[in-house]
Amino acid sequence: MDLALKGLTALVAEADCEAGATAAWALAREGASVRLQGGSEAALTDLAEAIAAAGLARPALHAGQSTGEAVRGAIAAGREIDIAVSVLPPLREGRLTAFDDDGDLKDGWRHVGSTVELFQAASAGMKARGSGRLIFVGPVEAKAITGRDADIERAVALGVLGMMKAVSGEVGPSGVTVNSILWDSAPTGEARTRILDGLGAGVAYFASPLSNFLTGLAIAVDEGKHGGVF
Amino acid sequence: MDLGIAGRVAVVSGGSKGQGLSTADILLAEGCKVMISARTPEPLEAARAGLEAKAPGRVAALAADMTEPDQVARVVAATRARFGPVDIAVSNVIGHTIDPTQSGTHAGFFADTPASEYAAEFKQLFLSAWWLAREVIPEMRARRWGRIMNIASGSAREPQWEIPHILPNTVRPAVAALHRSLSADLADSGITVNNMLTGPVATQRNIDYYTWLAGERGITYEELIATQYARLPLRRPGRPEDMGNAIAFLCSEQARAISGQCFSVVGGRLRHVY
Repeated sequence: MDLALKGLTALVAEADCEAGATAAWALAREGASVRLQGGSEAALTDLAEAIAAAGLARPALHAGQSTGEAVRGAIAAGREIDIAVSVLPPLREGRLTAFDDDGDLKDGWRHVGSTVELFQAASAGMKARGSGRLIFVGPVEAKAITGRDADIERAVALGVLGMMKAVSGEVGPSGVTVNSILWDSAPTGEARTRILDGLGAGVAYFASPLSNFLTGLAIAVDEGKHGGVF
Repeated sequence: MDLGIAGRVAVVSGGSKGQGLSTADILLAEGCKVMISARTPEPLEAARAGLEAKAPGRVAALAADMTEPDQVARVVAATRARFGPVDIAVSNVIGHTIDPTQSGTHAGFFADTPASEYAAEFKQLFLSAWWLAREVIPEMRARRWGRIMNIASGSAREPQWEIPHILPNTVRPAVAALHRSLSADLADSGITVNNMLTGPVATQRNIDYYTWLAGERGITYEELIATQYARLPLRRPGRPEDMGNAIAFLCSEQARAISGQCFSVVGGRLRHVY
């Protein structure tokens, strides 16, 4: 299946975490020109070198930049963003009843702002061109209570999902689709490999023109083990 | 993306037209062997011949009513005999008809639809999917690989009460429950189960339906369609291949951890957040 990503530019935010790196790899394998944003220059550099060592195009780096700065930097370099991927990195685990102060909550919620900044900056050009992809990668805990105490991630991810659904209505008429992948980060070993494969493939599929009638989805990649009917 | 499904054996019911035919076409393009079934022999044979020209030796067809358990078993047995055990089962059975002279269930609202029609629609949509799954699961389980999908409708998640859809509004959610339950039962078995929700796709059946509905309301087809598409974020109808591509993706090796989902191919029509 040719996902037709060659020639398209993708920006992956928080690419220095496992889910972000997985998304970047999947897009690079399909021929997208990938740009990496994140706080750790060392991790982004290692990822870019690994992708290049696999014979794929070496991603450009936006280390230490905000998501909005990364988009503007890409545009300044002559690369409009066709695919914007916002990844929620692991946040402090624990139950909300156990937190003493609101520091971790505020720290978590800043990722909503980071996603908003990314999608606002990237979607302007997408709307003008009549095509684009906004993709969020978050925890399956946004859809389900699991065995993992991911209360902050759940709250943040659901905030993003609400925004995503609203945005799908706003940008849809301009040919921009908005979809989410919610992954189960608890499994280890082969199960984790299967889930990461699904995460990457899901990102690549939602990035593809083949999925241009799909918008507003939030798909769980959890081997069907969590969540309700919907 | 190499989906890794070349050589896999698929059964697609309702495979002579629209989304079923497109699904068969795309699975063949990915190297699968495909059995299509449908009730009416002539269009089924036409579909088979068209697919055979693209994928010689990898397509077969059998006329059958997939809402009857013995015929479901016959199709699965014929597939096994021709290609081997079924790896991919796509249930694509349509529900009520708009033609009051035809047998089967009919379009209607709650107030004018007799209880017997609910039972008939349950057999049509729910039991047909269950019978197909029941036939293919044992061999999938033995080989620890399988994909079970059902082409359903957005009514599974959001009822369409503005049109005479009480039957799918009632039965489609039950089918979603069936597939969610199956996905949980089959977790760790190598088998995924997903419910594909379709909506405003420009199939001939949908065009016929909206033409009829426009007549019922005393407006033109174009007027009716304009209101339907205005509700879609993407402002346009889907194509049969939108569903076929989504099904092919979910059949892939890479998607082996995606199960139990209601996968909406509806142009964003459904408004729920999750």
